[in-house]
Amino acid sequence: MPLFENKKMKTTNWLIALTAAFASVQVASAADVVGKVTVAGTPSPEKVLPMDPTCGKLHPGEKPTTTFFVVGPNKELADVFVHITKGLEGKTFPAPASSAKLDQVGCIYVPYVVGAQTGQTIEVHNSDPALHNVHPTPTVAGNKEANKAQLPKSPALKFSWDKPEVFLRFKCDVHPWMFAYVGLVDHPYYAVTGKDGTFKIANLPDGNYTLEAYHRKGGQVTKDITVKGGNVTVNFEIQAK
Amino acid sequence: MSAVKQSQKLHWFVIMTAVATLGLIGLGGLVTSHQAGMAVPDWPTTYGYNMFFFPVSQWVGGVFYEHTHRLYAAFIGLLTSIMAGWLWLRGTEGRVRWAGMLTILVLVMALGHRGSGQSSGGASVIPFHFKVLAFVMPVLLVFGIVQCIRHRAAQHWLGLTAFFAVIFQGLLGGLRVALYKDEVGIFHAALAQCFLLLLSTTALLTSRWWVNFKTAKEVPSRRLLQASGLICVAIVVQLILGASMRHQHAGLAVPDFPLAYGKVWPATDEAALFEYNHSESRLDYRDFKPITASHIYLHMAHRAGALLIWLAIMALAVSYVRSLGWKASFSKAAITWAGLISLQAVLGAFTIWTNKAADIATLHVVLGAVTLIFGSITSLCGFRCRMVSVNVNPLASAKTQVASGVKAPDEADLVTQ
Repeated sequence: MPLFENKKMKTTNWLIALTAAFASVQVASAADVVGKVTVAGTPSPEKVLPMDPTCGKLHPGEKPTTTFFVVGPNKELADVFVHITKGLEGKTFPAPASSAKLDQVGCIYVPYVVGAQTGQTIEVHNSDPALHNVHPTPTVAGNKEANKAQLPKSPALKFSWDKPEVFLRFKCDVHPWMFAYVGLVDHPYYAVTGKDGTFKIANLPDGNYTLEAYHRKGGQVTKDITVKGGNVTVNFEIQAK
Repeated sequence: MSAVKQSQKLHWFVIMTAVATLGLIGLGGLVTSHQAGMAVPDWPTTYGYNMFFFPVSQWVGGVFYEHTHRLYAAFIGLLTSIMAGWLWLRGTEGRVRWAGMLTILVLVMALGHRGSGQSSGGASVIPFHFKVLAFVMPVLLVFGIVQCIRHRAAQHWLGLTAFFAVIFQGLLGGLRVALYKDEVGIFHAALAQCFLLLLSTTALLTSRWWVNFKTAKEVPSRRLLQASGLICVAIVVQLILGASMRHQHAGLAVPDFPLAYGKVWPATDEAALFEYNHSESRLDYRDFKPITASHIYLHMAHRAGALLIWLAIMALAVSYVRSLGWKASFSKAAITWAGLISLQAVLGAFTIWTNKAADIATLHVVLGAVTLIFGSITSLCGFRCRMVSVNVNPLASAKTQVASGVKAPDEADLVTQ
């Protein structure tokens, strides 16, 4: 083989190796934080919702109840807002183009807890044959209260706020049992546990963080975590109150 | 102008307006008890409709309470407008008459224009002329009150002041919704009670008894009448405290009675508040705001006020019986007042024991209004008797009494004929 071609191949190989190394460094600089939230103790029984006849007709079987504690067979706790509270200082994150969604189904907000980022659009749909009013009641200064009518099957209403607030409440004054809560943070590193109690926060860059699991009635539990070179598993236990 | 002749038809119309207003206070109480105050996001429209044409099929849930409250309020506005015009026509003449009638007409027409069909809350959807009226009406109301005082509660000024008050009250209700302000709701509730008091006073002053009264068979002492007046003022303060409590949206700040969290005075430190907010009774579908120390202080102030007023009225009733005897009308009225306030205390206890059941809480609001009106009207009757008995105009100043050569009433406790 000619000397020139040999040198060229060596350079190419070095370049390939260097690129692979660089790429592997990029992949290793972010990881997922996964885990499960369980409940300790026994929550108080849920209360049956006093639905009016219009909404009651939408639930011909078992009557819906409050959902203060949604607990699985193995104590898995749903509707826990898990998010980073420390470690992202000085960083800014653009609001996603996609919307967070709430729907009103059977005169109940679905989902009960949802996460969103400041500046992100929160869409509220009405899939019910009944009218609702959509009444977000933020408490953080700078987040403005609103109250809009929403007739059946009408277009989605859109809201967004600029200040972080956990939990920003949505309510319906026509149906006083209807509530939903938005965990509004200024970054994309959050999740809401499902019925199996699990959560996943994807692509968190390497670093030291404080992770908080916040349940509306159970309260908050925080843990310090370090993300370095691989996924992190963090479990929480929240006391039923 | 010569003295206005008494009209029974007018008198009964005013009574009807006052009784209807009591019903409106009940409806307003139901709105708050069912937390439906924001169920209709827009004002003065209803879900984008002219409120008088909102389909009955949509009167559901919280909309039913809020919308019927608004419709009934419009009806009360109509009754008050008729009453004010009637009183003004009877009590005035010449340019003053037509100026007053024009004012009433212009304001009624201004309120008749209800604005565009937007269906969201916020100050931006309030029609411009309503915003103007929101500043003008308090000024007119104060003007009316001053004229009532200057003209010694002349009926036509009472009527016009009631007209200004009912418009302002309607604006307050709308602004509470449009501006998301609970504080406005508290003022709205308090003004409702004062408006009812004004109508009841007008009903009394247009009665045959008041107009033709010449001889007092029983005359309560000045001290007893002053005590009655002070108790009425205390009841107004108590009503304002109650309205403030109801508009906190924190549920029952103290869930037990007669104790408070098992004590005479509850703890209000952070640890105690944490326990209160995480007790099972707070797991309510209504999702109340967390209890704070301020909520507890407000609640306890209302309880303390209730106890003081109850004791004061009991003492008053005993004093009346001792001074005038059981059979005297004023003694019977005082005993009735004592019965009313006792019933009100029982309703207050049941409001707590039923975890603020909407019907009980609303009845408590209505009976509070009745207690205020009953005490105020009987006090006014007592003052009328006393003043007539010494041949003094009841609303003249002391200076006028001295200047006209009339002897001021002495300090004797009892004059019975």
